[in-house]
Amino acid sequence: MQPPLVMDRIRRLDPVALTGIMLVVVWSYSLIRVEGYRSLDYNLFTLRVTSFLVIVAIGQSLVVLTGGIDLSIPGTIGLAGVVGGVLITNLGEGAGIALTLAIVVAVGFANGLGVVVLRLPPLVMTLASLSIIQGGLLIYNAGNPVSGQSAFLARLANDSLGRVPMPVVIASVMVAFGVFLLRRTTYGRSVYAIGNNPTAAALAGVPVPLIQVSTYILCSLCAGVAGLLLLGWTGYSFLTMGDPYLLTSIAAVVVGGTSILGGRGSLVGTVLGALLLNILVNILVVEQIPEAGRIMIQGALILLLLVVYSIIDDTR
Amino acid sequence: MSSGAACEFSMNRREVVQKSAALAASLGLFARMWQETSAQDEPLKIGWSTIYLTPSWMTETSNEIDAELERMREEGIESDYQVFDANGDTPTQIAQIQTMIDQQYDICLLIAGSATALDSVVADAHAAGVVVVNWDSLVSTDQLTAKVFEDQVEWGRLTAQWVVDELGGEGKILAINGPAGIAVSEQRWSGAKEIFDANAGIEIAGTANIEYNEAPALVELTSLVAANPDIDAIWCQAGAHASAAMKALTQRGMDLVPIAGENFNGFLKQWRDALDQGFTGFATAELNWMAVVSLQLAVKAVNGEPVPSAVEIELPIITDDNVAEWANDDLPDDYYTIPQVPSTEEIDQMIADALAREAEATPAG
Repeated sequence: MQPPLVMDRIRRLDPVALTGIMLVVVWSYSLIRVEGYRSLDYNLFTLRVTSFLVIVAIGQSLVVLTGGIDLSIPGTIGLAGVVGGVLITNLGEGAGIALTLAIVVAVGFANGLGVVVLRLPPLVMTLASLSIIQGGLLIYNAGNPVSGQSAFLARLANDSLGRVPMPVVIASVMVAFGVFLLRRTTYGRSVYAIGNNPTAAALAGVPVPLIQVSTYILCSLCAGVAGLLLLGWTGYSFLTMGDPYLLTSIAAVVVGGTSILGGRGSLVGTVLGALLLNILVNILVVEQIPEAGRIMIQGALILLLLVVYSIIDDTR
Repeated sequence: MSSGAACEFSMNRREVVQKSAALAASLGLFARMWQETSAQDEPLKIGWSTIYLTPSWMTETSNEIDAELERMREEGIESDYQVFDANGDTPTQIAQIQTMIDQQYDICLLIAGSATALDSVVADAHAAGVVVVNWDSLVSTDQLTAKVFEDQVEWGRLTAQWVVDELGGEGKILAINGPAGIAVSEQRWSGAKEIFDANAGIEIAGTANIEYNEAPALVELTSLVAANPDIDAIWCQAGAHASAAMKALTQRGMDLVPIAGENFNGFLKQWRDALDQGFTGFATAELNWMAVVSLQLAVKAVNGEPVPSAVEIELPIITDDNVAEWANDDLPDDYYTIPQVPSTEEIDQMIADALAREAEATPAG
C-alpha cells in the first residue's frame, strides 16, 4: 500500500538531513531562476546576513533544547546595540564591548533566575524581561535618541577574512564551539537530559537549575553579540533593531529539526534552518509573490516540516 | 417646588423670589469664581496615546511635545502630562483612551493604531468633553476635535511622479513599501501605483513589503538588485529603505540609480555625499512637528477658541538642491531630520488658515 510506504520513508529520515535537502532544493531553484544569484559575492552576502540570525538562533537552540524559550531576544539585541554604542563611545572599544556583554549576561542571569528560582514559565518570564528592557531603553533613550558608533565593530561586521565575511567566521566559531559543547561534554548531555525529563535528569544527578540558568545566559550573550554586530553593520542602533529576530530565531530552531518541547535537535539543523528561511524569503520576494502569500508560504513550510518531524519523533 | 415649600413657612412669594435669586446669583458667582481660579490653578490634564513609542520617529515626536509643553509652561500654561504607549496593541490603546475619559483629561493627543477600531472610544471621549486631536495615523470617525495630517496618497504620487520624470517615462524600477496592511504604507503605495500605472513605459520589475528597519531592508534590497541588475530607478516610500537601497547598490558595486525616499538622516547623508558622483534623489517628510500643531490646536479648543476640524500640512520637498540643508552630521543616521520647526506664530497661522478654509467651504456654519 502506498501511504504506509511513504510514512515509512519519512520515518527513516533525519530532521537535519531533511532540512539540508530542502535547503539545497530551494537554493538550487534560486540559482536557476535568478541569474544575479549565481555570483560568489551575492552568496557570500547571503551568508553574511544569515550569520546574524545564526548567532541569535544558536542561543535560542540551547534554551529550547532544555525545554525553555527566550522571548526577550529583541530587547537584548536592542540593549546591546543602543547601550553598547554609547558605552563604546564613552569608554572606548574594549571596555565598552566588555561592559555591554556583562550587561547582557546579567539579563540572561535574571531570565534564568526567574525560571529556576521563581518557577515562572519561561514564556512569561522572558516576555516580562522583554517589556522591562524595552521600557528601560525608552527611559534611557527618551531624552535624546542616542546611537553610538564603533570603528572596530564596523570592521568586524563589514570586513572579510580572505573572501569569507567576518560575521560568518564569528558565527562558524560559535557554532563549532556549541556543537562541541553539546556533543562532547557532560554539559551538553545534561542539556538534552533536562529537555527530555527534568525530574529524571535531577534524579540522575544533573545540576538542573545551574544548567538552565547557564543556557539563558548563553542565549543572552549570543543576542548581545548579534546586537553589537548589527550596530557595526548598519552603523547605528535603535530600540526596535532586534524585533525581526524573535520569530525568525524560533523558526530557524524548529525548522532545523529541534523539538520545541526540548530534548531533541542540533545546532547544525538550526544553521541549515536559518539559511533555508533567508534564502526562501529572498526568492519569494524576487518571484513577486505578494506579502500575504509570502507569509503564508513560510508558515506552510514551517507547518509541513513540524508535521514531518512529529511523524519521525513518534517512531523514536 | 421651592416656592411651594416657602409657602408652608408663610414667607411671601416676593421675598422667596428675591432670596432665591440672591442665593442663585451668589452661587453662580461663586461657581464662576471657582471655575476661573481652577482654570488658572489646575494644570491642564494632557494625555498622548500612541500605538508605538519605540521607533525613532516617535521618540523625536515625544521630544517635540516635551519641548512645546516646556514652552507653554514658560508662558504660564501649566500641564499635567502623561504618555500612554500601547506597544502595538489596539485593545490596549482603547483601554488607555477610556482611562483618559474616566480620569477627565482635558486633552487627548492621539496617534492611532487602527483606522477603525478606535472610532467608538474616540467618539465617547469627544462626547464626554475631552478635546481629542489626532495626527499622523488617523482614525476614520469625525467625532473628535480635529485631525492634523499630511496627504499620504499625495506623498505616493509626488515621489512616484519624480521617478517617472527622472526616467522620461521609460524604465525598469523597484518599488519598496512598508509592511502590508499598514494604512500609511497602503495609502502611499496607492498614490504611487496610480502614477506608475498611468505611465506605460514604466515597468515595475520588483516590489517588496519591508518593515521600517534598515537591516531587513538591506537584505531584501540586495537580493532584489542582484536579481534585477538592469533597473533604472528605485522608488522607496520610507527613508530606511532608501538608505538600504543606496547601500545595496554600493555594496554590489553597481552604478547608483535615482532613488526616491524620505528624510531619514542616513539616506540624506549618503545622498548629499554622492551628489558629486552624479547621483540624484528626491524625498519628502512626515513632519514630527505635526505634534506641536496638534497640541497648540488642542489648547485653543480647551480655551473655547474656534478651531478647524482638519489641518492639512503641506508635504515638504527635498531635492538635490536643498538636501545639504536637511542632512545633519550631528545627528544619528536613524534620525528623521527637519531643518526647522515652525514658530508658534507660523503654527497659529496654519491653524487660522485651515479655519478660514473651512468657513469658506461651509458658509452657513
